[in-house]
Amino acid sequence: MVAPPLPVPTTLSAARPWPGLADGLLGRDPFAREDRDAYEARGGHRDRRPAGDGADRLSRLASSPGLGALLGRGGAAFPALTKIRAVAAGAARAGVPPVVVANGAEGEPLSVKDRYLLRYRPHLVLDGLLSVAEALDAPVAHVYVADRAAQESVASAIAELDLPARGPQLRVFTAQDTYVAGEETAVVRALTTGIARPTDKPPRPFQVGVGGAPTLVLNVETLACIARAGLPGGQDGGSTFLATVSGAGRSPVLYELPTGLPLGALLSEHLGRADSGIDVLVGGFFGGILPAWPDLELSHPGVLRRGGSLGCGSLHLLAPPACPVRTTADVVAYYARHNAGQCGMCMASTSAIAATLAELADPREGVNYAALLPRWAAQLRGRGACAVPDAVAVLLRALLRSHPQVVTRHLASGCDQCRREPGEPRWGHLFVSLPADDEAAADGVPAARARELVPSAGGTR
Amino acid sequence: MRLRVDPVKCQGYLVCTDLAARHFSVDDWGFAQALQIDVAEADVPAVTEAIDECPVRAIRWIEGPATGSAAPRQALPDP
Ligand code: SF4
Ligand code: SF4
Repeated sequence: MVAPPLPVPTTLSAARPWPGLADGLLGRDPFAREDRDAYEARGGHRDRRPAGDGADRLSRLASSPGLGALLGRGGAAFPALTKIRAVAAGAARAGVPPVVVANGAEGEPLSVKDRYLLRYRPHLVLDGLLSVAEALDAPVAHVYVADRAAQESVASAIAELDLPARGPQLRVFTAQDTYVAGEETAVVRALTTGIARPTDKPPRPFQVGVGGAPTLVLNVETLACIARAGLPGGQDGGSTFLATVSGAGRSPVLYELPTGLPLGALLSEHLGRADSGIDVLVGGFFGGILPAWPDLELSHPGVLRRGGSLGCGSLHLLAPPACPVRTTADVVAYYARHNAGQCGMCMASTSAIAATLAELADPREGVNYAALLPRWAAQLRGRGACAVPDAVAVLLRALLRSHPQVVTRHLASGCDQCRREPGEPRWGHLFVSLPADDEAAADGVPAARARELVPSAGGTR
Repeated sequence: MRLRVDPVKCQGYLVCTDLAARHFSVDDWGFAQALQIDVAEADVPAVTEAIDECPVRAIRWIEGPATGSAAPRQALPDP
């Protein structure tokens, strides 16, 4: 028996701040684009280029609320201030001005928060970018985007700003819309040569970046958090995060959540229940599939403690009868297709692992799957030029650690859910897009347009 | 000092594992990885030969402390 494919809503239907967070990143009217006047009315773009030198501005930036504890929001959760300081030190050592980049090329098919911010909150991002560029005395700051709506919104926000000639100048760069285009070294390479593909590390961008200069690449949500920490009232920069929540047959919703919220509270809000039997694919395609434990703390350390990674903050819910083995197979199949096609070990391993996971629908005699899967997880760590092989390792480890009985059952007797027709789409349901502008008029209107589109590396959303 | 095999360049010729078996291993798909251990003085000649003989010059020295047998975790996409 083959499970029939279900129509799945993939267009974002709403953007909702958690109760009590009405003044946060999403605000009271999430789908109204915040222009310069609206942003300045809430105290933004203050003290553009205040007195003092870069070092003064850097220490002022460092002392804004919560900045010391702010973790990057692109996926790696690297401390933002540490990265800023490393670039400052690298530039001083090299004697060249650094380059600053706002990274909005959100390759994760299950996350729309960066695209959202660029489209609807461009000034929050630009304010954060300018503050950081001023603190580093960077003459040029790039906004790196991967879709046209973001490019247009940012370009008009820059025009609205009418920046003085003596401060940092802003430029927009539109990258190819691929999974790996947002990886740091791909960002640097794209801005230098036009090719958005990762390069092997070291060196990292803070050492050698755009045109050889030490380069700070910060995710656009990280920059929005930095800007927010500077707004009147001084909200803690890291107090909330954006989470694209999808799956379980519901229309996707973009939430702004308090950092550390228990998953159970989110499930009660989103599904009206916090029942058992649900799994959650965390952090885009990156953080592994975990049982949706109600006490799972939604923070980077919280998810890490339970064997996953919060990554870009997205949560894709898998309600019964969805099978975690099948979903893992689908994600690895996506990687087999959407890797950057440049590392032999990545291309070979993703194809082979995707094929093997698909085989668990009807395991072959004589193959020791139970030994192969952990062995592969160990072999892939730290290997690629980018983190795709690590992502596959995390997926395999999380599957073995969180769902040992499910895996054992597959090995013993196969799985109906994992059987599929030849040519059946594998990852088309693992995708969220922002609504077209006219669809976004009212919060809560389900734009339940099941998307035919298979997200391809060249596709746009 | 440690070693790193650039995954973009490595074509799996396995010259490195022949010349300096203590510092390289082969994965199930035939590509090499450098074990993340410090290179002892006595191993430098063999390692240098592997670096020079790799047909695609995929091996290089990198700084930093040894992290055990597994490679260091890479940063995830877009920190
Ligand atoms: S590891 Fe994979 S996705 Fe990353 S650069 Fe290499 S081939 Fe591309
Ligand atoms: S000799 Fe070079 S190309 Fe061959 S396996 Fe070793 S690193 Fe890869």
